[in-house]
Amino acid sequence: MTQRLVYLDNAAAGWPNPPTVVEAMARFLTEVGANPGRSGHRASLEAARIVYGAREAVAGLLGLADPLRVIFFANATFALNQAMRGLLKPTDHVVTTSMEHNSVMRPLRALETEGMALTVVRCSPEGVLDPTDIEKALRPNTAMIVMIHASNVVGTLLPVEEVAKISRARGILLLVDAAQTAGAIPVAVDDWGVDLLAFTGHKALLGPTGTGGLLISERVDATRIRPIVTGGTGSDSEAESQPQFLPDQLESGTLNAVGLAGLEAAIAWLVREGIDQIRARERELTARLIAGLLEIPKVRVCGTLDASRQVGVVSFTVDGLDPAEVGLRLEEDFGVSARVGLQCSPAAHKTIGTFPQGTIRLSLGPFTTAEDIDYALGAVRMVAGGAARPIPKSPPDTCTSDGSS
Amino acid sequence: MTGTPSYTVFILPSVSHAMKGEKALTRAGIANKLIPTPRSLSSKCGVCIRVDPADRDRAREVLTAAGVEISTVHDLEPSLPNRSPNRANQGDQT
Repeated sequence: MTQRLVYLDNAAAGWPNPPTVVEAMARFLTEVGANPGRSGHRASLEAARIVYGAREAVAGLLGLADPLRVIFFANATFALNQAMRGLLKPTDHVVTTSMEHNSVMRPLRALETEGMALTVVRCSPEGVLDPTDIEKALRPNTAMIVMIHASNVVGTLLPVEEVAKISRARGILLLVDAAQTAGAIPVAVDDWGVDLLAFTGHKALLGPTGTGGLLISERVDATRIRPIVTGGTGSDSEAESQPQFLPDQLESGTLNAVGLAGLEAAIAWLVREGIDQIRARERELTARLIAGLLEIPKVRVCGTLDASRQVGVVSFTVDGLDPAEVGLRLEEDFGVSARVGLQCSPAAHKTIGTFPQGTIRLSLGPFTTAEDIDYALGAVRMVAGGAARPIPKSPPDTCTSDGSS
Repeated sequence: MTGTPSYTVFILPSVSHAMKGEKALTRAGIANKLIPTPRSLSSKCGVCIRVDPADRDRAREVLTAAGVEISTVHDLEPSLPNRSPNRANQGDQT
């Protein structure tokens, strides 16, 4: 690609990946290449060690004591489906929020057609959840609370720790969708009292696509979880029935070992950099982005407008312009990668008042710079003002910055 | 079997348990090696952990303390001559 790229779509996929991720994946393919643990030979065992290393890395980063309760899947969506379909019955009631991604909403709506009762607790137009509204929605047969940790539309953080106190007091399972927070902010599954947490490897964790999984706390009786996929595990091979222990109970088929090699390397990089430091830098840049957008005529910024209450995900609209058109102009004229539309979250857009047209979303990562933000702000100002220009050949710091620093 | 066995083998539920066990034993300074599970013993998991019989009790303690579920423990002699006796084996980690 010769066009200048300011990549602000980290909420969809974190990019760039640290060089060590590429190196770990290349090493796996060139030096290991075997099926993890299926065979007793050296390469197979090394592949199994790499996968186990990824389990330890995920457990360590997200605060789960036992790495064997980290279950790997292809993404958070699969993990969420496994958690809900594996534990819920048609006689159950489930409480969720109006900020959910379709990775939660669609499985719940499907379960609803099978008899399960669902209450969707409405959040504020800024995406804020009042935990007492969750408590009010509980019924005697409420089996699970499912909630997103940070909105993929407006970045607003939801009060997981407060809801965990409610769920634990009532003996109700709490399933958290951490797709936008794992790697972006500190997460502590055991300390917070979260029962199940779904994550994806390819966003803030900076790993490759095709990695993700489910963390199952020791409070959950895993034998209750019905696997949604069964098959070969390399264990209990004499039995034609599924093993009854984790992780094999829920992990059938060969794992994405090369992807997990990359994920382990990505987490090692995050740990070296420090999640707190990454969070502090992203919060500062998010504040810079919000402040800059607020100064541009015709631009409306969604969410709390408070970077301390959200992750680095910012949505906005431009009066009189289709978000899709704005996104196209940002890309074609300025080389800024955004995501426009509904971001797979119709319920969230209904909550914040941007359904069905959606928003333009800019999302930050650890490699985003202040220059990137200023360049993007200049581009938004030009597009919102009706102007266009070719992609500049000069460095971004020569572009309009809107005085947003 | 007569006399001192050549090996002690820990059979574990899965390769993930074996990985966890290998790490725990190595951290505790107990020489170990992951080997294909002898079919005569189990078809539970494709690999098991081999240690020196002298380390059997300590290895069991370490595995238990690490939360590694042990399916069964066996003392055995290999059917084939072994070029690198377990006692000299310092593990096979790369």
